[in-house]
Amino acid sequence: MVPQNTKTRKKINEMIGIINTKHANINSLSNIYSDLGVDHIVVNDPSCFKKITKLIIPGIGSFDSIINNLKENKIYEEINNFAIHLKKPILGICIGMQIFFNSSEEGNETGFGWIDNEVIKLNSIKVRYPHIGWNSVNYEKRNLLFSNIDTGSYFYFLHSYGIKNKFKSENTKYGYTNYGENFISSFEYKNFFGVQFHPEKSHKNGIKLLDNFSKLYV
Amino acid sequence: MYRSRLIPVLLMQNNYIVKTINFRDPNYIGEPVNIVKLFNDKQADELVLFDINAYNDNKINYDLLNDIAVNARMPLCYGGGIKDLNTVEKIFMAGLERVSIGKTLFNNKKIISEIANKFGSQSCVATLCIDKDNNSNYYIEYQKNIIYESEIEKFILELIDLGVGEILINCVHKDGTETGYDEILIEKIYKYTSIPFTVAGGASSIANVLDIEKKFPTIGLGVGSLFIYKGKKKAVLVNYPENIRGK
Repeated sequence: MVPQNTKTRKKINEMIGIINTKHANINSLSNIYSDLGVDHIVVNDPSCFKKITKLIIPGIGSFDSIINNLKENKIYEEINNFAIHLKKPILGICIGMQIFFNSSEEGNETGFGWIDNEVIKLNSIKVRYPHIGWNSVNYEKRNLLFSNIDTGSYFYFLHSYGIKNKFKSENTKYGYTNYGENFISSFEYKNFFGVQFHPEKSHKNGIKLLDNFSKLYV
Repeated sequence: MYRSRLIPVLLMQNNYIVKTINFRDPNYIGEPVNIVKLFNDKQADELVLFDINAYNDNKINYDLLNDIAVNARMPLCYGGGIKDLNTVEKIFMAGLERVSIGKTLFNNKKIISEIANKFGSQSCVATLCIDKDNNSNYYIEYQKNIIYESEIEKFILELIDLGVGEILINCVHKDGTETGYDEILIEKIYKYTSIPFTVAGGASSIANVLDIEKKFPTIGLGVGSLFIYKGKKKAVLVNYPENIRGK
């Protein structure tokens, strides 16, 4: 069941901005935050950035199409400012996470490059791609996004590309998933939070993770 | 560890969920939003929804898709009447993340590569309705188009080349019969496909579903009647096996 705890929940001063990438199922995210009683807005233009305290970049689309969309909507620079200068929490989902890095084998565009790494095409010969379906996420260290979510919990994946190499800088908390081979399915590094799976489509575990993101630093 | 998907496959006609036998004689089941809610409460792995009139009527009910998505915290795939990219975008905006292309494949296969380029392969499913004639030959038929058994492999490989992310096979001769999946057909297609493959039609019991899952790792298991009816008299009772796998 969807949690209906809007009345009992302590009101927090957060406004989550959900980037409208034009291609994504932003409704799924806003439906969950409405149920949770968390204030949120869909970010369509630069003026929205005045109001928000956290940002989510949702994930449907190809690498180039999402980057181009952000530029066309004139929010690319605003997002960069929010992440780099304001250092506010930012959650990337699937392709929305992949654009945190320098580049992707999926496209020719340059990513934000906030974290020095490359998105690669996953290609274990043991399995079929795209990786579509439910898989478990294992994390070593206690981390904020997975607060009250057991290691080994299942989430919904829908992707062909991903991150395999650890980041060059330390102090990152990783979650791993195995699909023919291990890849990085979640991470927390400074104000950057990324998940390769779709929490908005992962029933209870996903709702809990999105709730955790809304409560960060509170 | 990856686990195979158990996928309720629902047919919609005139905004109601119906169930067919061999894709004929639709039987009224209920309101789509209610039925999706029930599957959501039971934490279904994914849900596939086909509107069987949308293609011919040239009409997709986006409001209904929106209402469905509002009630689903699980992956949703929609098929029916998708003829261009604009339509695909509207479906994603409603809160679904995958689309299935069926009849459009017969006059515009290239839509597959267009969707794959713009939204990524993972968003794009090709659904083929395969039937079996009296001589046990498989074929696909749509209006005047017939794809014979010898050509089905070539047709599927072409779709994979165009960038489709998943092949969904509806076994017309098994639909609604609850006589067990067509293992012969599954084995043929499973062998030559390199991408995710889901089969629907014929699931007779949970044991049957788990048996196919074991024989064909990573296969998606579409289920209709078994999750909709209960008992010999086929009373409508939406059900889904809970807690048989990791959560």
